[in-house]
Amino acid sequence: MTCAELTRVLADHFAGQLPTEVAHALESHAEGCPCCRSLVRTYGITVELSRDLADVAVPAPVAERVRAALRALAASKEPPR
Amino acid sequence: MIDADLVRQARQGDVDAFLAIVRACETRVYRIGLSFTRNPEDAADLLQETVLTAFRSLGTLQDLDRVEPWMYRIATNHALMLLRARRRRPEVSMEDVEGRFGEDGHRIGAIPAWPASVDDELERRRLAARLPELAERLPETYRVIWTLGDVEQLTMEEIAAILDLTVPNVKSRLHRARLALRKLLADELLGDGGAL
Repeated sequence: MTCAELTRVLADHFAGQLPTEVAHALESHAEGCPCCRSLVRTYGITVELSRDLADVAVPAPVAERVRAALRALAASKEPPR
Repeated sequence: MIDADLVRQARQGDVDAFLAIVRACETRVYRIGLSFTRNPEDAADLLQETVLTAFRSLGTLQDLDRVEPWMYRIATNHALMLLRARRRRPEVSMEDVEGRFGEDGHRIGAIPAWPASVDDELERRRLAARLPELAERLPETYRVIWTLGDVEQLTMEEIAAILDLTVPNVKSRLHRARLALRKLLADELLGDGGAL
């Protein structure tokens, strides 16, 4: 596997969708190539950090405000299109 | 998945049925707003606008099994309208985002390791908090796909349906968005020294 090939299959690697032999080739290449080793690690960190952003809930007053607005709209008898 | 019968009831004017749909979608809609606007008040407005638009237009929904992606599409469209009205930050070029390679497929240029501090939980939180601002520098479609794919963790198929793109197109753009964000994070951590 070359650096270019490794870069192209990174997303499938992190999605766990690489065929076993390709996954082994990736690991073997990364072991001997400091740049690709760094790329694999930092690409993974970037994905993990993005997922951490999902740890946010709707504040209760906001949810309440939205429900009130919806009930007001429904009460105005504007029919769904 | 939201039951199609619930959607049918909501279409007949059952507000409680519609509220049940809202409850299932509101967290993601709010976070989509937060990711795009980086402002809790704007995200709250966007959630309200999305819910009211969806309620008014529920009759136009064609596939009752797909009310969730339909809501996210409305939220994304509202968010994009909001963003287009604002001044944009300079975009990064997506051209060389994969790097440059020689004829033999080997990389030209270095990818330095990140400092060990990225394993520290506080530093990770700090970097995660920086991501939405860094993502503002991605071209619009890449930013949308990153938000839906990596933050909200929707499937490639769901994102493709929301954005009217093919699955391979979504996969390729998500990969390139990650590479661009990785580079922006590297610039923050190591200084903008031209490393890939």
